[in-house]
Amino acid sequence: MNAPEEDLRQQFRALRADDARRAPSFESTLARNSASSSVSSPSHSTVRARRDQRSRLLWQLGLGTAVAAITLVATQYRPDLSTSQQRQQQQLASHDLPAVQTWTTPSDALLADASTSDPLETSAHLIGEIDRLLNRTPRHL
Amino acid sequence: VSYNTALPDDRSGTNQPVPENADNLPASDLRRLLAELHPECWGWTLRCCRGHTHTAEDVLHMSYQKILSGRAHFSGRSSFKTWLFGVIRLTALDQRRWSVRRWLRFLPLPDDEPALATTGDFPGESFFQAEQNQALRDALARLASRQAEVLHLVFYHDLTLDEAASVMRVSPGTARTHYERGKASLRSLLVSQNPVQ
Repeated sequence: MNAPEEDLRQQFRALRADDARRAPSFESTLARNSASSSVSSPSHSTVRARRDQRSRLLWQLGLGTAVAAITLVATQYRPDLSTSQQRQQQQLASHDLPAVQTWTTPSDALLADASTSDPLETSAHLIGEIDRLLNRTPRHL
Repeated sequence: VSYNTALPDDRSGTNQPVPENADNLPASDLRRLLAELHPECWGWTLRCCRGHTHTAEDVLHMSYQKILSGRAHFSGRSSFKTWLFGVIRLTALDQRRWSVRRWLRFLPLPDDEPALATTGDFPGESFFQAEQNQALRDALARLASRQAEVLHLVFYHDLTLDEAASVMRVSPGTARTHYERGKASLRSLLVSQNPVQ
């Protein structure tokens, strides 16, 4: 055993001697009432009753606070209930489609074409729209 | 029952014999063995109860009751002291669980008492020694539980690492790891508490 370990051992031995001085006797330990019976000892019943009441009150306070906090959070929270499909429809309605629906002649469509950025996509779209408008065109025209 | 084998804890000065056939150990012999080991049991129980004397007395009482009533049975597979320390440790764990259950059900708990403090209680005890003891207690309280347990068993009760592992119900390798780490942590804690040393 090296010296530092022996030093630790000495400290523990001093602690052991100290504990041994305070140790209750074997007979008194054997004769001691168990924990469960000492709990119900009448000598401290008033103090314990007060302590129980206090801890119960603390529990109830804590529980009440937690319930109130959860309720508050739940009432304040307003989730966005619109679905993704609804959002898509809203975007379409506010963006391109109104302009498309206002076309009445092929020249309107051609004018709109000038403001778009993607020529291929717009051309295909325009061809479709022109066809639709031509089909709608009254017979006398 | 004949007793012709010494317990492996002769270093601690107890020198009590261990029964050859422990299964047939009469209550009177058990009682004598317990009485001889009582001071050491007290130290170990205090450690298991984190220095709370009233709880330690309850736990020690219950452990003795378990043994004398036959509910805890010594089969002779380990030394009597090792087995006894294991019984005390498990009883202390049971007691802790019992306290938690009572607390959760708003039932009254045993009287709380402060952890053992030593300074100036005994006239013959030097103030310096009392301070050192308290510093060691504080340092042990700050260690991880397993580390403190293994150091206590090895240094306080002079058990070997294998015996300590048996009490703690861990493998010897695990006990050695806790021992080495605990020793290093304890040294640094003691130095930080008293840098002059």
